[in-house]
Amino acid sequence: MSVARDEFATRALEEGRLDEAIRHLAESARGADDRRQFFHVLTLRGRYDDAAAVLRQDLEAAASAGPLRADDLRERGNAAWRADRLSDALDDLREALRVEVDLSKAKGIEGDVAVLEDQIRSMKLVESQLRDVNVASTVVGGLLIVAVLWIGIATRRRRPGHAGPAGTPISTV
Amino acid sequence: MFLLYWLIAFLSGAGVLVVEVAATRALNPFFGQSTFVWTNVIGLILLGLSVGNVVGGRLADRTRSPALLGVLLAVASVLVGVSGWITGPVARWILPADLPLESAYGFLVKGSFLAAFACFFLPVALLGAVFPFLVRCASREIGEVGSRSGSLAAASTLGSIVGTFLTAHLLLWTLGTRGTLLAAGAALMLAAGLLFVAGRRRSNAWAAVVLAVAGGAAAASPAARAAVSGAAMGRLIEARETRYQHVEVRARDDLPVAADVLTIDEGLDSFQSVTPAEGTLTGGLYYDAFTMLALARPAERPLEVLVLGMGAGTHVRQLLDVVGSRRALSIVAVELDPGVVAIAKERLRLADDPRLAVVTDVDARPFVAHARKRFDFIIVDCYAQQSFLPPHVASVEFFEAVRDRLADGGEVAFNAFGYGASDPVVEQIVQVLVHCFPNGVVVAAVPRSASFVVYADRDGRAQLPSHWSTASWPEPLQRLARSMAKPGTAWYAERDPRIDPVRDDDGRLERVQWKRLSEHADRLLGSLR
Repeated sequence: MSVARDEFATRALEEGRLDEAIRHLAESARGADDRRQFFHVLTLRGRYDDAAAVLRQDLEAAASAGPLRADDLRERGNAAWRADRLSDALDDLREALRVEVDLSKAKGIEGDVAVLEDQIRSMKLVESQLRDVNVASTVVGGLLIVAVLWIGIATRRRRPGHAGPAGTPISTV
Repeated sequence: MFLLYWLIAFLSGAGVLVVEVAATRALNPFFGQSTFVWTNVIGLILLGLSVGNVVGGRLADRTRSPALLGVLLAVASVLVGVSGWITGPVARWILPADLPLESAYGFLVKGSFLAAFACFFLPVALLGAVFPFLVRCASREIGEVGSRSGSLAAASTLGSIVGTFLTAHLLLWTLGTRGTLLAAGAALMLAAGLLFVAGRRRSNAWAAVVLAVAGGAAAASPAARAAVSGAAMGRLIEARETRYQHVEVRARDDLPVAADVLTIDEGLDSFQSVTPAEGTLTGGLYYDAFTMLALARPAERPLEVLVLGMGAGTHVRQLLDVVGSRRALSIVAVELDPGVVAIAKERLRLADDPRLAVVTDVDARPFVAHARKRFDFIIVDCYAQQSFLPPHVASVEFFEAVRDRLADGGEVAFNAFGYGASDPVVEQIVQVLVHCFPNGVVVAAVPRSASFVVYADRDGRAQLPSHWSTASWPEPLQRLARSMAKPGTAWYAERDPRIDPVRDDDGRLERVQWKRLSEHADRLLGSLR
């Protein structure tokens, strides 16, 4: 791992002590490379929100010193993507594509943007259809609740009169 | 005449339960067979009956006409007969095309409710209206209302019992879902015909008989038996209904290798087994990682492997091909559904092999509890409803039984699906294994997938992928092993004191799995706003 600087964390990772490496880095990661390593390890452990938060903090600090580099934007976009924040991810990747000057890297980012746009498009279709399903199930559910209430009232109502003794005929209509 | 009413009560009671059992099967290819689907079907059917009871009672107060009862029954029978045929179009209208599993939660829960309502509520409500009407028709004086309604209620309940067992054990198996519902509709139509005869409506009676015969013939036709195409992704090759579930073979070209896959029930974008167009390796899907674990086992004696959850045999085909060509091995593979094994042999190149013994009609749990043999390597890959782990094959008690089936130095490997390594389901499973195998449990992420291979040795500390000797392995497996050997890709799980390992009497795993699916869908959809 090229970004690894913290020797203890690196050794812990190699020996399969991932959680220990995270605990160590959470306390000790201060320099830029260690913070990168911390972000990377959190990603491996599936703690995407924590990883994105680490990266966001670092990049916000960097942004105050000037515009972000394409690599940083791409990394933040990918982190947001992994953390299921699709719109944020798309914003960052588009911005990375805009500022990237290396053509081969730009091509890679373009591919990522296309895949993400496709995912967002299909998710929006899903969302709109889910909205319809939600409305329809609420309407049907409401009707059924009314039906239940009606049954409750209808079956509680007493009919006038009484059955009469055995042998009383039931009128035929 | 009372015998006729008794028969009608029996048939309408049977009809309700035939619809109830068959409805769940009709919804399976689209919404799966989760507790939610069952609950939706049962709840709506009970409510339909209740509404029908009240409406039928009101109607019965106004008139005592067997012919009108016949009309009610005839309409109900037509709706029962067609219900199996409209389920597919209704479900396809509700579900988006190529719906990914990760955003499917709302559709599966609410969609199954809507589809069950649209297809089955009305026929059951009409059947529910039959009973009070029957009581009215069958009673001539007040003094006999109690005994007559009691007899009719008993007949209806007896019919329900017969309908339940007949459907589950015979009708669905022989006629398929649509055929079963058509047959039920035909029987009810015949009963309506008898009521028309009693009500002296000859032309109606003839029409009912003709419809009943037509329905019966249609029920026995191959078209009724043919399984419908469900909601799974990929080009359909064959759909089939087995005794346990709906299975499909589909061709997929969006996987790392072009392959035919087995999907079960709703399927969506997931699959249970993969048969690549060429060879047996799957281009880095999790199956390959299990084969690597088998290759990494010490080679001093023939390898005895147990596969729990064989599916269509992706693991066993790989093991026989890749491991079996390097060392002696024998495999016992357990697959609950013989229908899956049959379709695997016919469509997915699962060949008979003297080294392979397939056990069917036995769940993994009782197999492990009662088996005598011990194994060097046990693969646990028992999934239901795509990504759902049945809790009884993921509990402490289950893994203690698995540990007892391991030979000295044996290893167990578990396929865990999760949205990242911190997925709550993965964490729960890992903690179960940590509890049962305190020497060290390895969690290995399979690159570019949502799968984790969780493995542990009975007696020692399991090796990380970085310690495997891979020089003699096939090149694709060497490549995968290199990816999995990268620092941080595989790690030893720690005991997490916040998580109690899941036990048999614990409903947590099921709850966590649904919660995971719903939260993931919410996160994804919420991120678009």
